[in-house]
Order: sequence, then C-alpha cells, then structure tokens
Amino acid sequence: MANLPDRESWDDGDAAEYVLGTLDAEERRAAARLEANDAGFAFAVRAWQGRLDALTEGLAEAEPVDPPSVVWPAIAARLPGGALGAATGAAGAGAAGAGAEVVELRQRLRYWRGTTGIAAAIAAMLAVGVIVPRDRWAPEGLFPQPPAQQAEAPSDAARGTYVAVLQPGGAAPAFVAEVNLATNSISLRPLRPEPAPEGRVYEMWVVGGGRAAPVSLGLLAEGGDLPLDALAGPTDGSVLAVSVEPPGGSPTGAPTGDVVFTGELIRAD
Amino acid sequence: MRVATDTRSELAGLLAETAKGDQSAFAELYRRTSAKLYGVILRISRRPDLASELLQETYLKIWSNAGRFDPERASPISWMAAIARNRAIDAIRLQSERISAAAEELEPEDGPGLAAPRHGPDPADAMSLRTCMEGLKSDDRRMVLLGYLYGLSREELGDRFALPVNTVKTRLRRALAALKGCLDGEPA
Repeated sequence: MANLPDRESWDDGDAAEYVLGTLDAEERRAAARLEANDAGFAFAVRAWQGRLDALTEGLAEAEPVDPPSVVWPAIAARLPGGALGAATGAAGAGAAGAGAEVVELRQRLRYWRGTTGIAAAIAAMLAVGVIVPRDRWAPEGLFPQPPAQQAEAPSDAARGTYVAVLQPGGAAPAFVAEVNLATNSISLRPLRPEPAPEGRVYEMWVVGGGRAAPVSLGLLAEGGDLPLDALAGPTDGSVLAVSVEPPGGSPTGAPTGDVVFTGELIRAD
Repeated sequence: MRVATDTRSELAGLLAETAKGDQSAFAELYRRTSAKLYGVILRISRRPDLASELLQETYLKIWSNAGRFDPERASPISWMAAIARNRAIDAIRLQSERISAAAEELEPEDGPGLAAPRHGPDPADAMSLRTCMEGLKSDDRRMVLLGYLYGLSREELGDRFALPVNTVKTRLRRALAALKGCLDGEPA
C-alpha cells in the first residue's frame, strides 16, 4: 500500500486492515500515526472495531488462561504511588517461585488445548466452519522439551499437526479433531455432538487427499484417541467424515449410513 | 455471544471507578478479566515469552484510558480485548523492535469528540455479523477470521492459501468491503 505512509491519503480498506491486523510493519506504524492525528481515520478505525465487536467478544470469552502471578504486582508497582500490593488483586496468586517451569508448562498445555476451543466457540457463535491453525508459535529452547512419553501436549517439534472442526452442515461444531503425527494419534474433542441414533454408532473416515475410497479410522463410541495407522498416506487435502453405522461399524468397509459430520483437515504448522 | 448483563454492567462500573483512579476497582477488574486478556494475547502474539509484558502494558493502557470507555459503543470485555489484541498484533508485526519502544510509538490517542459508531454490543450485532460473514466466499471468510482471531499476516495467509501477498490484500479488502456493505446496509 503506497497510500498509508502519506497521511493525506487513506481509504477505508486501510482502516479495515489496520483493525484486522494484516498491515505490514511500515503500514501499521503509519496507520497508528494517522489514528492519532487524523480524526477521520480514527473514526473509520472505531467503526471497524464496532463492526467486529462480536468477534472480539468471542475472542475474549473463548478460552481464558490464567496469567503468571507475577504480572499483577508488576502492574500495581507502575500505578501512581505503586502502593497496591499483590495480595489485593493478584489472580491465582500461588507460590510464585515453586516450580515456575511446571506452571509455564501447564499454561502451555492450556494454550494448546485452548487453540481448538477458541475455534469451536467462535465457529459456534458465527456458525461458520473456520478451520483452525494451531501450533503456530515455536519458541525453540524456550521451554524444556518434555520426553515424548510424558508429553500430553504435542511438543513444539511435532511436525505435522492437523486440525479439523467436524460439523453438520451449517450447524454448531460437533467435534474438533487434532491429528498429531508426532504422537501418532488423532484426538477427538467432543463439543456438543448429537448422540448417534438409537442402536447405531458413529464411524470416522478419512476421504480425499488422493485416496480412491474412504478409509475407516475407527468407531467413535468412546471418543478419545484413535490410532493413526489408517491415516497413513497423504494428509493434505483430506477430509474427516463421520457416518452413522450399525453396531460394530460398517459391514462393507465403506460408509453405509448418512454422513453427519465433516471437516477439512488443515495443516497447522 | 451471550454475556450476563449483570457481569457487563459490573465490569462497566469497575471501569468507571478505575477512570476515577480507584486502584482497588482496577485490581478487581484485573482479577475478573486478566485470564481472558492473557488468552487473547497468547493466541494472537504466539509469544509466550512476551505475553506477560504485553499483558502488563495492556492493563496499564486500560488504566490510563478507562475514562474513554463508552458502554454505548462496546461491551467492557470487548473494549479491553481489543486493546490486548492490538498490543499483541503490534508485538508480532513489529517484533524486531523492543516492545517497550513500540509501545511508546504506537500509543495513539483516541480522536476526541468522535461520534459513536452505530455498532454497539447488542446481541443482534452478533447475528448480523454472522449473517454477513456467511455471505462471504468461503476462502474470503476464512481469511478474515484467521486474520482476526489468530493474527495471521498477509504473508501467512498467502502461504496458507497459496496466493501471492498482493492477491491476499486484494481479496481481504474485497471481503472487508463486502462485510461493511452488508453490516451497514449498503451495497458493497
């Protein structure tokens, strides 16, 4: 955008992208100056914040993470007088020094889990099938890497994390599936799935991605983790689908009942 | 998104007290909202190493700007979340610089005397946003959502959708213009 650095000329798309956050560094600096100095631009920015207010609220409510207990004292110290101690306001004030690494890891775990939660919450609000990236920060060396066996969360080194939000057409998400090639598993988070009809079970399939026919990934009777063996082969371009089948699963090796949930698998790293 | 009205008015009350310099009200505001804002910052910035500092800066800005909160214009939590999100976007777009320096530079004052945009925190707005989002082409909608909810840059969106950056920009702007037309009840 050649426009923005010149404060005389901007258009509403500049304000929109500023609020969306997609301007590059130079444009963003220019937009911040404009917002401070040009009432018209500032108004356009406010209008865009208003238009996206429901999304912002969804973002805030989706998946809270308790901040480290040291943050409040640091804030309080910078208030006028610096008088207010941690005891009054600190959220989750625990033994700050005790096992900071553990705390950080726990927060990291919650972050990992939250990434899918937020998509679900917002997709539910908007009823749109947003497919979510996750595993998009990779602070190498920042945290000690837990051994793979204890890594309840996928490690940062996990190459090949895929996520799909499975939903019936147009309605609220039913499951979030996370495919982790490093731990060789698909974990399935039930959100608010309709239970399978009486006397039937849900069976999950992977289709597309160059496969000639749907390949069964197993029954969803118990939810939880599914073995990944069946997902051998391409993951990009694949779609997870859930069909309604007789007890024990499809007798034919192909979906026989209605496909009730689908979601595209998107590489998240 | 449903938020209990009493929670909303309580938070608005705490913001009003904060605007008067009431530090205990501000502490209570922090206690009740910091986990939400920390979650926003973690997701948008993808920088857990910086998130605590960004959260501090966010609350210091809330402290100094609390008087500008207008309950007619936004809900308390979305007003605060927008500040957190904005700070996090600053961090990832301008991350070659020290965050504290960026905070100085990117601290625009709100324009004085602006009329409130007509979109408020009314739940009906969530419905209309939803309806208008559904009117976008699927990929355009995803671009907007991934940008807004995850802080993806044009480059990252380009990687994800296998599009040149300029095309991403063109399509984002087309989508945003269509969204505006739909939300404002004007032809796109």
